[in-house]
Amino acid sequence: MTPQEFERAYDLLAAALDAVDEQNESLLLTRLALVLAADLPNLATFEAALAAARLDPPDDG
Amino acid sequence: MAWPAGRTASLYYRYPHYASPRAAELDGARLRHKVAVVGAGPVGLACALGLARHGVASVVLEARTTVGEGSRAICLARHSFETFQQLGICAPFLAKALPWTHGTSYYRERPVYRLEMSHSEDERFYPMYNLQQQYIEEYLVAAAAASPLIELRWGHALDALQMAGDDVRLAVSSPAGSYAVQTQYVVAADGARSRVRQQLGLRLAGDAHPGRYVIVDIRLRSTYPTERRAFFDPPANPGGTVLVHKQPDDIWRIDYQLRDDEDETAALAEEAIRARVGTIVAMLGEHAPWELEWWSLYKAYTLCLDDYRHGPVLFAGDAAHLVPIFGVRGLNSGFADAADLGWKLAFVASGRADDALLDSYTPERRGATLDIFAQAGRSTRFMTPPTRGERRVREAVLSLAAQHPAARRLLDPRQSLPYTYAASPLSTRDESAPESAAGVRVGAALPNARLGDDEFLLDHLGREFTLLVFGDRALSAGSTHDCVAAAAARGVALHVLTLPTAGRAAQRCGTTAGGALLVRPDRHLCARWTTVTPAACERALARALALKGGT
Repeated sequence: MTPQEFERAYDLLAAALDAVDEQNESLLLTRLALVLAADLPNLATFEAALAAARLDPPDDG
Repeated sequence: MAWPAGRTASLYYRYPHYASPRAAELDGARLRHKVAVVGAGPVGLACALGLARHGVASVVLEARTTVGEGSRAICLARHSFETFQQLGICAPFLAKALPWTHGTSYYRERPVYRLEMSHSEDERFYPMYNLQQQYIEEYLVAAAAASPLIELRWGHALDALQMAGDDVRLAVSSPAGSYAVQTQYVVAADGARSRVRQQLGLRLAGDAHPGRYVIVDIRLRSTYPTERRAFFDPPANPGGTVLVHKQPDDIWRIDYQLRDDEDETAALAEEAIRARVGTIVAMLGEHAPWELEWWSLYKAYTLCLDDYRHGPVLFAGDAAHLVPIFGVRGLNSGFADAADLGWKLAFVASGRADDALLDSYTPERRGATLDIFAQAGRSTRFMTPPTRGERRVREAVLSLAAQHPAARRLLDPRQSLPYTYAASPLSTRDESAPESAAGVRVGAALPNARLGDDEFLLDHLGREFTLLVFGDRALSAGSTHDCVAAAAARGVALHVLTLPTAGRAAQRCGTTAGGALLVRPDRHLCARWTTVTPAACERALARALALKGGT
C-alpha cells in the first residue's frame, strides 16, 4: 500500500467507525481484523501484526 | 491579542514609529499611479518589492504607523528565503532567524516520531527558519524604504474603492486630510479583514474547523535546540495538543488546544494562561523563570475567494485566503502570491505583456491554496479530530507510531513546499519530453544545486527570464544570440546560463546533454526541452507572457 493509499485507509476506517454505534466499534474492528487475516499469506504474519497492535508493547524508549 | 495586566509594550521588541507623509494629492497633484498596494504587511511589502525589482513604481497605503503587533507568523520556509534572495534582502533575515531541520512528536510522554525535513548540500537555505513577524515586517519596510520606486504612506487608511473607467479610485484618509488615489491596478494585501474585499462585496468561502487553540509567547532562557515539538494528549494538556517553537531573543511560542468543554473567557484570563503555561513549561523540563509576552486565541479556517482577480484589483495573502497554521503555510503562501503576482503585474503595468497575463494569477495561486486546503486540512483534522471515528483512528496511529513506520508517516506535519503550477496556461509542453520523464516538471519551482563552495544555481538566475542550457553544444553562439535578441525585441531580458551536463544542476534538474529549461522570474519552470531552438524559445517566452504567438 502506498503512503497515499494508507492515508485513504485512515479516512475510510474513521468513516466506518463513525457509521456504527459506539458499542459496535469493537465488533466492526474485530470483523475487519478477521477479514484482513484471511487475506494474509500465513499465520506468522498475522501473529506479528497482532503483536504490533497489542496495547502493552515493550517500552523501547 | 492580549498583554499581561499593567503592561502595554513588548518584553523585548521596541515597535518602530513610521512618520505619516503628506500625500502629493493633498496639494493638488494629479497623479495616476500604476499600482497601489493596500496594506504594508509582509505580503504587500513583498509585492511592492517585486514590482520595484522589475522597474515598476507603487504607492503603498497602510492605516498603521508601525509593524504588525505580536509575533504572529513565525516560521519561514526555504522557498520564502529563495524569494528574499531574488529581492536582494536576505541578509537581515539570515542574521536574526533561527534555522531548523528537525522536529519531535510525542504521544503522552513518549517520543513517537522524528521529523527530518528535506535538506542537502544542494540547498543554500535551511528548510525552515523561525523569526517573529514584527522582524519580518521591519526588514521588509527597511528594504522598501530604500527603494526609490516604492512610496510608503503610513497612517493612510483606505475608506472606499470605486471603479473609474479603466482605473480604480481609492478614497483615503490620512492625518493631513482625506484625498483620492487614482491608480491603474490595486494589490489588495490588507489581510484577513480586507477593506478592499469588503468594498467589492466579496466574501471568502470555505470551512471553519473545530478546535480552539491558545497561542502564547513567553520569554524563557533555555539551551534547547530550535526544532518543532508537537505533543498529543500530553500530561500538561490531557486530551489536547501542545506545539512548541523557539524564536530569537529567548522567546518561545506555546500553542495549546482547549478542551471542548472549556469556557473561552475563563481560559483566556491571565491567571488561567499563567497556570496552563506553567504546567507546560514544567513538562518541557524547563526550570528557569519565564515571563509572559502576549497571548491570543486561534481557530483554523480553510477559506478563499473564488477568484483572486477582480478586473484591476488583485488579492494576495490573507486578503485572498485563510489557511490553517499547521504546516506553516499562511505567510509562506502569501510570499508565494507576491512572487507570482509581482513579476506578472510588473510586466503588464510596464506594457511588456498583455493584461491577459494577470488571468493566470488565479489558476496558479488559487490552485496552490486548494492544495494547501487538502494538505493543511488533513493536518488540522489530525490535530483536532472532528469525529469519534477520526479520534479513534488517530489514537491508534499515535499509539502505534513508536513501533510502526507506516503509522509514523501519518504524523508528518506536511510542512510548506513550493506548489507546482502543473496546469498553468503559461507553460509550454515539450512533446519530445513527456511529463513522465525524469526531472523537474514544467510548472515546478527550479530546484537549487551546489555549484561551488558558496555558489548555487539559484544565485545565477537572471532578474527576468533565464534559459538554462546543458552542455556547450546545446545552443550555438549564434542561436544563443537569437534567443536573447528575440526576447529583447519584446522588452524582456533573457539571461542564458550554460551548465555542464555532468554537474549537480543537471542531476537535480534531471536533464541530459542538449536539454534546456526556461525559468520565469519567480523561479518556476515554464518550458523544458530535450533540444531547444531559438524559435521554440521565442514561442515559449511569448506564451509565458500570455502574448499572441505563444504555443
